[in-house]
Amino acid sequence: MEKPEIRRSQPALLTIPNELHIAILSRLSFAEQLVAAQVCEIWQTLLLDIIHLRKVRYTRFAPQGSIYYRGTDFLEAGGNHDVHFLLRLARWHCTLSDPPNSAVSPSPSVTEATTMASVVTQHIRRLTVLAHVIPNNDPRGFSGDVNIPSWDATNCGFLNDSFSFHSSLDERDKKSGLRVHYGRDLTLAAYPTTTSILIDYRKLGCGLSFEPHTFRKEGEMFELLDYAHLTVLQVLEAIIFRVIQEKSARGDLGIDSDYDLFFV
Amino acid sequence: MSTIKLLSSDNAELAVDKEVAERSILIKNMLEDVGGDMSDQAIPIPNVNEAVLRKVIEWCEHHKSDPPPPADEDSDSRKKSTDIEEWDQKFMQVDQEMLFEIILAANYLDIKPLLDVGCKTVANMIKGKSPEEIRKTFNIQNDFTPEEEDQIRRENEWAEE
Repeated sequence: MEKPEIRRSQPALLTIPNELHIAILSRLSFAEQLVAAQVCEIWQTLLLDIIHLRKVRYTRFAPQGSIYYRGTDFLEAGGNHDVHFLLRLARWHCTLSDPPNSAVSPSPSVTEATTMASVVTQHIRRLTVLAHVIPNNDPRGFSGDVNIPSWDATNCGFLNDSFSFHSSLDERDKKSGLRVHYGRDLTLAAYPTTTSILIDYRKLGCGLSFEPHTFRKEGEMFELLDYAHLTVLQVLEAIIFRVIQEKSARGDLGIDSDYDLFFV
Repeated sequence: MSTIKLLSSDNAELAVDKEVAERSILIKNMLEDVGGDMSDQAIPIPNVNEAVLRKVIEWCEHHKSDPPPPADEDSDSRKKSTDIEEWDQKFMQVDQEMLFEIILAANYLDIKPLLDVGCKTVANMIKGKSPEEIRKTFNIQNDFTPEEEDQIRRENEWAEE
């Protein structure tokens, strides 16, 4: 019996091994990776699941370090000066009191950590109220309404709400001349109650720096982020205020880079 | 300068300078394993056909004097997808079938700089395109349902401004 002819398939993009897909995708910028994730399922899966790709897309924007804000969990691991300062900013914003002094203690004490945890929790409770306070206290003078529905830390519909919030902030920031880009990581598509912050510290120009966060094991990020999403917004706003303050003090609120801040 | 022979998957024997062939870490290691003497025996390259092997050799000949690639996998210079030398850009102006054959061969033969150029070329073909344009470029079938597609688009629309 004649053997059937073995036809060698012609190589095409989707026939190459995953390691080569990863090599290709890792050469794309963050925004390009988001577009690539819409092309086909394999790319979306790789972009979501491969730690290397996540690291690449985050370090591309924050090569000197990036932070995945994880609620208060990191405090248990000792925290660090800058994260602590970030939380001080959050507290400042939360209470709308005077800005904090940047000369904070290098290692947060247990009491401070507990305070921060309490502030974070408090903020979640106060979010709706806080959201309405923001426009009235905006140093850039924008007095429009921020479109924020009532939020609930356990509300799975948060993502859509947060998107409206991001859009409102975006509108306000455009008027202020501060270029801020909001968005959400692809990981959010699969894990709707998570979020993360990415800050381009090089462009931030505020002297803030953060220890790069390294993933300890696959999947852990999602768990750690699970309850952090509301506090992130608080921190974002605090950082924006801080940047404006510092830039205004230096008289260079003008634009000298693609984005002053980049959030995902 | 010593010469070695490479045997392609379609049984073509190609003579190559040892120095050129050693741009492939696979071949370099094979030569080291046999004590460097393969003057009368062709080294089989079963995964690469003659046409592709000739292209790979052409690349290796042009780059034979290049310094070895940095050991650091995360080196910035290797990540910049737009950073392709003019000669390499012209070298990669081939049809897609050949392009992916070269990438696969570079991967198999362990020629990292060539693999980089190949991946950068593909990345550049992706850049600046919409998902639909990328699918068209690479003849990829859309395997998302309309609902999934809509969901993903909404999730990522901020990045498309």
